[in-house]
Amino acid sequence: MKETIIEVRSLERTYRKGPKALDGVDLDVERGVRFALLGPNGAGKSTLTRILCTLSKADAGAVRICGIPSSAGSVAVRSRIGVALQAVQTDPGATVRDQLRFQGRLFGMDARAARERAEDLIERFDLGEAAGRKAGDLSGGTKRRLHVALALVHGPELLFLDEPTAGMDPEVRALFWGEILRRNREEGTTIFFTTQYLEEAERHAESLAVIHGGRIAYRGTPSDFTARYAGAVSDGPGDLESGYLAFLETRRGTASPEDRSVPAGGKEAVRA
Amino acid sequence: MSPILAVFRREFRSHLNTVPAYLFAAFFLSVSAAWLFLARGFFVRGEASLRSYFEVLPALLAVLLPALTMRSWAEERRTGTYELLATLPVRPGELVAAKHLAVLGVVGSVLVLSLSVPLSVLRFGAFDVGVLVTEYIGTLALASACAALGQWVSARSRTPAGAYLGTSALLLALSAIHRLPAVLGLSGIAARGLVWLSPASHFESFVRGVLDSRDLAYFAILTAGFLYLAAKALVREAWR
Repeated sequence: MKETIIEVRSLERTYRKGPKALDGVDLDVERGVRFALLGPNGAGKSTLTRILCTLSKADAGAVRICGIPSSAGSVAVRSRIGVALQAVQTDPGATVRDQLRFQGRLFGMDARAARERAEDLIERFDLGEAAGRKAGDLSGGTKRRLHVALALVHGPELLFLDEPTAGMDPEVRALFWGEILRRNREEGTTIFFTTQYLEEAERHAESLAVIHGGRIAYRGTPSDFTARYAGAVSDGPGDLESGYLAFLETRRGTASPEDRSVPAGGKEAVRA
Repeated sequence: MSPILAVFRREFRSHLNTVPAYLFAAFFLSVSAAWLFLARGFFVRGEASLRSYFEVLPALLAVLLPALTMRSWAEERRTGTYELLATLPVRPGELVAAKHLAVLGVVGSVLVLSLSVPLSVLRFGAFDVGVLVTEYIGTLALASACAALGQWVSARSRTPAGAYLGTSALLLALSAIHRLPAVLGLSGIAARGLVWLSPASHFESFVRGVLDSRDLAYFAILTAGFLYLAAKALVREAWR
């Protein structure tokens, strides 16, 4: 049996003057998989991701990342994960090359190792032309590549990607996923990503969860999810997107509070 | 390399690439020299002392130092770069300490340049070098406390301009608080308390050439206290 790299138990979070963003989330993600977290806006995706990245506090529940009990600000966890959030901006006044080197130094690399690592990532993410330019002058897609490259400087065991390909053109998206898949395949890096491009989840995720109303409403594989939900709205096999839309329709229309308390995939589906 | 050293180097270099550091240096050096030679008539008075040079520094630092600290966190927040720092395996306290050291690095560099003032007048009288050293130690201690307060205000401000105004107002108020008992006719413990609270009254001992551990402790406590509050403000915001 594979080792669990993300372990979440009964996680709760309520924002002040707001509804429960997370309402008892349980989730296990195995080491080495490519995992997609899906869900509509406001479902709790960002809150869950931020808590897993040690950027937010939970009101209740427990999280273990890489076997380490995790809490907001945990330095031990942060040194083992890479984080590329959508809202993050890099220093607009520093060049791409300087930022990658600086990131390496912050993770304890010596000057030479940081320099070599920066050049390696510049090549892998096709940032050569942008390497000497300031981040403030880069296009949105190039900035996203820089964010992800920064998250990979220290060779993390677990990489969190929040809407990683937003703003990238198809060619750059292909290059980006090529590098992420290589890292997953050759170095065993676990990939946890959120996306609104469902074809990306279908193509690249081995395992997924759908969060809805602050709870994990489905946990399984993309193919199982598609088979379960797309069949109801399509004559053919359907795809993840049609399945996802059918799933949302089901949740909006018929799901009772009791239904919502049990993952739609059943208890066996909670654990991949 | 420790994260503190890495952030310190980046911040120090960043100061050297931005206008506020040069404005700080230019105004600090020119205004303090003009105060000594023109306003206080150094050569007319014929005293072998630079007391009047250092006496103006609390007010000068209150107006100028916020230009160095205003961007510390308010700018990171404005540009959205704080989230990136927050994902690194670095504690908020370490980030605050590194930024503080960078500001002190700039202030220290300007103080080295300001040595040109005492060096240019040393030959005109029998100056006490010990007093001069104490005065410089006091200036650095005062600047450290002011910079720490500036970081705290910056950590709580939305914009650098707001951080500048807030820090400057607080520093000017603190610098003048020891005059309140005389203005309000206060006496006893309240008067002594207000005088003790003011950085200017502690700085005065250094200007007189007295290196008192209680004054050093006062500035150390002020520095540590405001840096702690700055780190707490960042934690509160980052983990909201």
